[in-house]
Amino acid sequence: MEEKQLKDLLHKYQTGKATEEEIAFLESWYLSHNEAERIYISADELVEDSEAIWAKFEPVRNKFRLRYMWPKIAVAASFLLFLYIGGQHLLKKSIKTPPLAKNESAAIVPGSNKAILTLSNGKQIILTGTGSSQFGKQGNTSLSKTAHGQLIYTVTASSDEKSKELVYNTITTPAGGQYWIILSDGSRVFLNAASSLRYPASFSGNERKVELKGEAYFEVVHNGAAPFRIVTGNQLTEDIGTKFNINAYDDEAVIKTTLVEGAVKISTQGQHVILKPGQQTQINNDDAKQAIKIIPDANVDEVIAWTNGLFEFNNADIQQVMNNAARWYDFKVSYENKIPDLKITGRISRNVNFSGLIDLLKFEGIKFRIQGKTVTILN
Amino acid sequence: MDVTDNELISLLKEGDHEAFKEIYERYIFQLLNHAYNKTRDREEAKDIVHEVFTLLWSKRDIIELNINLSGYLYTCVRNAFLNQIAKQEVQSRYLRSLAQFASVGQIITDHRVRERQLIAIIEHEIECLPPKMRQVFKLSRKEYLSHKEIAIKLQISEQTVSKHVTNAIKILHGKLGLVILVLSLIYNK
Repeated sequence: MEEKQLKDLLHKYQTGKATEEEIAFLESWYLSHNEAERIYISADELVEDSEAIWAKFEPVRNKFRLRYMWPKIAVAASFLLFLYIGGQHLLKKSIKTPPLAKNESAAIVPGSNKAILTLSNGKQIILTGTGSSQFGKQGNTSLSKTAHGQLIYTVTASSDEKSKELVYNTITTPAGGQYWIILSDGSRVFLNAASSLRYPASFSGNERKVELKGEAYFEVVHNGAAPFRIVTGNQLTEDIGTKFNINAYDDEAVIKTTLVEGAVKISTQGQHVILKPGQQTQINNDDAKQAIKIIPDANVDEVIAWTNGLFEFNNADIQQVMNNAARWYDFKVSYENKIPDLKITGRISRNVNFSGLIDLLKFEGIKFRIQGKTVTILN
Repeated sequence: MDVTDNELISLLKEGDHEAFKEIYERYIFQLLNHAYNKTRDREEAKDIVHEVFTLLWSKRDIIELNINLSGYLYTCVRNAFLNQIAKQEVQSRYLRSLAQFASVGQIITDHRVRERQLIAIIEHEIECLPPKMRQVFKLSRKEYLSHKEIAIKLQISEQTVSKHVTNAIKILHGKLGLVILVLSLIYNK
């Protein structure tokens, strides 16, 4: 067989277009390939490689060491970033980038359950891994973490006069992190990557107020006597018994609030609307005086796909897709030219490795260059 | 930890991370050994095996409860390999072998026969592992012993299978599971 034919055959196999006979040929070849003359790898090398692969499934390192090194890492990282940006700027014209080699995306891995909890006294706890732990008391609640990425507040004493003063905690997810928080009133909040939520360890008085940056999905336990209120920039969201998603990243043009079930009231600068299930509001991030825009038939599945471990895009523009992926895989996006006017439709697990996502986007005609943790769109 | 492969699949389907780790431990060495022999390249072999376990986790919802886990993993390795060599970067290294097979090789048309041969080849990987490792994996696969039980049975701490394994056993005697010890090895390097 000619080289060209073989290449075509492999391509057909990869794209799922090979016939039964062609598959039989390749699979039969596979069985015999390199079997006549075996080569062995040493035990040390086997152990080393198995650890290297496993490390990709557990991207977060020793948490104790990390906790103390955090400030140093931050300083070093910002310095490196500074050098890197400066270097990129200087070298931009003089370096010819080689074509994408197979391992260049190895540095980019999917996110996982991880977050940093900041207690009222400023102490920080890094939440990672699959073990469960108890973190003692905060006000009149006790605090624990489960094996499956949940932080749970449990009220241990009835609220008396002394505990009326609210004790605030903040949970922050890095890029590539996500975490569930079960608040003391039983309301559940799922925090997406690169986001933070500030809330009292236990609620008291006639409202339950939290502050959100970034994106979270809420399942609020309704209590008419103490409404649940979420502050996001200029927007105030008040639940009326409900499940909803708020997307309020600083790098997005609008704050989007999408109602899954129940009802919510959205207010900003003297305006307010009450949302029905399936509706979405969009509020301009910079200019809150603009009228609240209501999308009557939002694609709810797409909005909450992330809570089910999926990326889902229906005719989404490239910038939205890349911003979303960048927060989860923790990489930087840049555009060689003008941002291309491409619409992406597709659905993929958030657990796939980065090359899986890249394959999907390549299929949509997007061209990339990947260097370390920067992805440049070349279209 | 007397868990069978099928029990592991059912736990895996529930999203159990420990089950995933256990499957990884059971199969990683033989899959790596196999991928290494096929590719003759450690990086390529690692990519393939990483891809297989990534798929196992991401497709856990659609994996059938009663599949044969080893057979499933082996076919995943084969498919990942064939997909990988379709990519330009590494293809040239295999074209000669493919061309040769095209002229003299024997095509097995029945896919069940191919599957059986594949299983035989990969099961043979266990035989190709260094002796002490081989015993560990035979015991954990065929007798479903826990790693602690195996360590005691083989008195493995006296062996010098590798520096890593020796270090590992000291921790194992401290009543930690193999998982924790492998992780701690990674983290304390």
